[in-house]
Amino acid sequence: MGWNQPSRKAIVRWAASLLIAGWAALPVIASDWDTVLVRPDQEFVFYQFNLAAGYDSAEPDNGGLADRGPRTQLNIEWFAKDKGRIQRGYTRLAEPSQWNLKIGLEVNPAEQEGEDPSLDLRLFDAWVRFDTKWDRTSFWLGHRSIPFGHNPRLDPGLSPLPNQASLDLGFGRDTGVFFKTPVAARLDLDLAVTAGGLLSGPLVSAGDQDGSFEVEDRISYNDTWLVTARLGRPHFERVESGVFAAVGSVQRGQDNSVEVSRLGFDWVVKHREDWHMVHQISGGENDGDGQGKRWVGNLLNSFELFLGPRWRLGLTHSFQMEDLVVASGSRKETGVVFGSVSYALTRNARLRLNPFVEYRDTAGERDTGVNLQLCFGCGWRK
Amino acid sequence: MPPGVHTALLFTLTLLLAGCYSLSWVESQDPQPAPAAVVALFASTDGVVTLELLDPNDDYQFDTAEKDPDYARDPDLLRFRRAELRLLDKMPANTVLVDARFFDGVGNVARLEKVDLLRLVPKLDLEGEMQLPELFLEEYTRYSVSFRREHREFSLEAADPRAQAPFDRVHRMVLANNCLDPGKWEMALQTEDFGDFQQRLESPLSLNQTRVLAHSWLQLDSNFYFTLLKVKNPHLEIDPSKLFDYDAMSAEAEEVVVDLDQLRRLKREEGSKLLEVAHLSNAPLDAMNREQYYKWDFGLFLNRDQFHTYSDLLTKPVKLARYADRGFYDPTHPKEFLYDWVKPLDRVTVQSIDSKRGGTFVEITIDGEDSPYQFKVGNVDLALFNEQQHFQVAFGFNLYPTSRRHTPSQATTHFDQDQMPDDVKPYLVMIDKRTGRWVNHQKMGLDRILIGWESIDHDILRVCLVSYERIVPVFLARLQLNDELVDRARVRRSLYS
Repeated sequence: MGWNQPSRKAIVRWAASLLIAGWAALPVIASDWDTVLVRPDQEFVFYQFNLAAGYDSAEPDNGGLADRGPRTQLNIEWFAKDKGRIQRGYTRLAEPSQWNLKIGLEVNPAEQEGEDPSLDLRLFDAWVRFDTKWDRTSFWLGHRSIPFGHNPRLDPGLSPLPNQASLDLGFGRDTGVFFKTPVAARLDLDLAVTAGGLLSGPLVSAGDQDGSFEVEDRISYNDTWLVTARLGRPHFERVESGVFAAVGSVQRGQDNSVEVSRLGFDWVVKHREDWHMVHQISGGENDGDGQGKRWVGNLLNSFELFLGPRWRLGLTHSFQMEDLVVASGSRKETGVVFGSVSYALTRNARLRLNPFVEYRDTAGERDTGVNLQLCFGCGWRK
Repeated sequence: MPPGVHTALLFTLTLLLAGCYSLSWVESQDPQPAPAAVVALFASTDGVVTLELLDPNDDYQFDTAEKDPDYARDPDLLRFRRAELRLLDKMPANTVLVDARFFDGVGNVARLEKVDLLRLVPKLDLEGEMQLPELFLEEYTRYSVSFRREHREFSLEAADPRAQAPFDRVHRMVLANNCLDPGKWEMALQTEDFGDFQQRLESPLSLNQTRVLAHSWLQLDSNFYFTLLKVKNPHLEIDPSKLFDYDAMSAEAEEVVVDLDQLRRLKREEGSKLLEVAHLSNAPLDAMNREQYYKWDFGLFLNRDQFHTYSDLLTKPVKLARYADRGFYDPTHPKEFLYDWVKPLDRVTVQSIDSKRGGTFVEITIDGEDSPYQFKVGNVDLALFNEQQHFQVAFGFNLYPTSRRHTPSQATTHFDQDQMPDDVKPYLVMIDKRTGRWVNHQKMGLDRILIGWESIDHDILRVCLVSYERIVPVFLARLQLNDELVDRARVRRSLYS
């Protein structure tokens, strides 16, 4: 590659999925930032292949392809920075600055013995980001992560450590309008008005059903909607605290929904890039799914450690309580500890050992296991 | 509807109606009178300081920017030759706010309300004898403050209807402290022309829509300027009148042994791999940004045709248009620089800075075993770089950025000069390796450094030293950083953006 002669074609390579949310293509001040004369690439295509399998006491034959955390999948992602915005140098009022589309083909392991796994087509990201003339004020249209608590990642790219949203609401990404702005010197607002999980499950599933290969449309709208918001310290601070809330009617399975309301608090402590710690607690109600109105409480604690160029360690504890009487006669409670030992084989590939222990499960048998995850494209880009 | 939804929506609506937050530089909850010394200055002129501006654009051919169609088309229209500064009664602490009006020859006015003059005055961050090179570098480096139309930071009053159409195109007003002598400032109006923007987007070159409509030069009274300097720097230990004798002050400053420990504490050398040095690999000499492109186009690189590669720069004098008088380029009396001293620069190393903020603050050293000089740029945050733009640092101590906004953005992980925390003040300095003393880079034909990632992989840095008046790149290196630094930069963006 010459000094001023970048490739003119979109570059196809293995890379990690991008942590786009909140990361600006351009710095806050376009002042002593002088645009490169010969235009660098502004559109990128990335592939990601994840293989995950291991031991799981709850699965048929006690294991196989992973059913918890990131599954075996092949993803393709397209990311673009707006050429006009970069060239113009500023935003006059509001205009697109970035686009992102990430879809994947995911292997859904068999639930019963003798069954074959199916393939699910999933949507991970599909959004356009609009920057505005006001500093740090942006909005997005499309499908992306919802602001249900703030839980950043040291080791992103199909991390096995879950977020509160996916554990509690059943999904961490949704489709709609997203907005972020500072409302005071040390207070940021993240707001999302979304479809309640409409596209958060598989879009299409394909598999062997009764001896024939069938493709099934899985999108089903059940009048779902969701409003999520977080008001808290800005992300550039070392210690963040915030209040988050969610109200709406969210998808549960393909044909059901449940009304939810939540109020939560999060606390994030970061030390340089060396480690960070997250504590989140939330509570509220579920209703409208035929099981009656009941209280729900969630606790999430997470810690990640940056160990030199190749190792990352992570631990997440989750405890969920739902005021439902389960078969055992007690209240529904689930407590799980997730771990991740991550090793960077190359810049673009990670090998992870992901143990999990369900130390409490009043609704069934406690589940333990460990998955081995090999991810190409889960590297250090973004 | 689920419980609490009305409360949640009302809460959200209230927050939105409260408005988005933006830093205000010129408003304060506790406004104070101007500093007494400044009040005395204005009292001596009945409250209004009047300035005469120079506008030679009928003859001056080397204003290196694309021109608006109405640029210097009329002898008086949009030719700003007089300014008035009126001191405000109250202002935030550590500011000097004036109402500034610029008048053209037919009564049209460009107005800046609540301009902080201190934003255009050198700021000293060091102590002791280091203030000598610091003040020298601050004063003899160009920096500017821009005012944005979309935020109503300036207003234009068209007394003459012919001015209305060009005024409608203006999107920026700029005040600059130029690099020639104390008190030499400039004022400019910039317009936008999107007529061929689409064609420009399709071109491989990033040339934007900005044009210059008006450009004037002004000279502040030295007493006025030095009063502002002392107000901004109460710890100033140097007689500022030394600035009038460039050569004497340069010679005195070159006696100072550089003490960077006032600005940083080094941690360790970070492994890196020097992939290429342009003058060793015979890389082609190309303009790296718009400014160089336009300056070559305007003929400020006089003997451009003799240089095709970086190694060519080492073999014969490079002739660059002289920047002189009030601030004009004069190709008829060029400056000549022989860059043969670049030849032994064949080593670029990275050291991490011991900072509580993060592990991505580094000092980059350009050096060579046989080189008498070394260059150090430090307290730069790798996490701020990107592949679409160059990060520019001028020679000096906490001189970044040199293009500032009238209202800086809120300090996040990126800081304006006036907000820069003490522990991460960036610097760029040229050092005599034998003595450890400061070297006046301007005599060697340099202006600043450009740094940026080569690609979206964000693992290979391009580091470039740029010539006098930012006309020509004279040294360029590609450096691959180690995996840990690269990933720390990614993690920092992830955690703090």
